[in-house]
Amino acid sequence: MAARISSDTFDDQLEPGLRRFAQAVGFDAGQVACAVEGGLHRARSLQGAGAITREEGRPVAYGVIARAFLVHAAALHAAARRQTPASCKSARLAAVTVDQPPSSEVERLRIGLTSLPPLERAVLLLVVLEGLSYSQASSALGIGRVECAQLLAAARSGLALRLEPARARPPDSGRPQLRLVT
Amino acid sequence: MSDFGKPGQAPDADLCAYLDDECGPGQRRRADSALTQDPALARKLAVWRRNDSTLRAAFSAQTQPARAQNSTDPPIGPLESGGAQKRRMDLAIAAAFLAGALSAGGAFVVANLIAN
Repeated sequence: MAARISSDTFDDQLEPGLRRFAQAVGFDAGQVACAVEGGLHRARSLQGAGAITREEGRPVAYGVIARAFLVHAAALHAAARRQTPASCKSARLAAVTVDQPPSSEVERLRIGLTSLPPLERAVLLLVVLEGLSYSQASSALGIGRVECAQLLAAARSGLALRLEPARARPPDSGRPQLRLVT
Repeated sequence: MSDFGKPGQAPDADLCAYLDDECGPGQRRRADSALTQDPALARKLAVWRRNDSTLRAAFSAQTQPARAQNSTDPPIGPLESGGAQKRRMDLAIAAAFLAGALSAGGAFVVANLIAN
C-alpha cells in the first residue's frame, strides 16, 4: 500500500523545484506560475484518486511542465517557420544580439541551454538540475531510459561545445602583452 | 542500469550513465578501466561534470519563493540611517514645541486684550 502524504506537504516540497525547472526551461513569469500550478494540480488529483507516493508524484508534476514546455517550443518553432521576411530579419537581429560574447559563465550557460533542442534541454534539466533518476525523467517525458541517456549525452556534448571554447580562451586574449623593460 | 554498456550502445550514453550513477557494477568497472586508458574520455567526463556544477549553481542561486517573484508590492526604498531618523524626530519635537508656545502666547495676548 503506497503511503499517502498531505497535499500541503506535497506542494511545499515540490513547488520550489517545479518553479526552478519552469524558469530554467525558459518560461516567463506568467507561464511559470501556470505551469507550476498545473503540475501540482495533476499530481494532487492523482494522489487523491489513487494514492500515489511522493516519488510517484514528482515525475508526474515535472512531466506536466516538461510537456507544456515541449508543446510551447513546438508552437514557437512552427510560428518561426511561418514568419514573414520582415520578422525573419528581426529574428536574425535578435539572434545576433544574443550571440555576442556574454559577460559571465552563467550567461554563456543560459545561451548554451537555449541553443539545445527542447527535448535535450528538458532531459538535462530534469536529471542534472532537479536530480530525477533516469526512470523518473523517462516517465515524466514519456520516453525510454536508453533514449533518456542518449538525449542527455547529446545535451551535455552540445553544452560543452558552447562553453569550452570560451573557457579555453585566456581572459586577456586579444590584448597586447606587456613586458617589463629594464 | 542493465540496459547500458551493450554492444552498439553509444559510448557517450554510457558515460552519462556512469556520471549519473545509473549503471551497474560491471559497467562501472568497465568505465573506470576505459577512463584510465583514455585521457580524451576522462577529459570529456571532467568537462561534463564541471558544466553540471555550473548549471546547478546558476539556477539554485536564482530560485526565489513564489511570492517574492510574483509580488505586486512596490519595492521598498533604501533604509534610513539611525542618524537621519534621530534628526527627523528632533525636528518634529522642535516644531511641536514651537506650535505649542505660539498657541500659548496667542491665548495670553487675547486674554489680556479682553481683560483691558
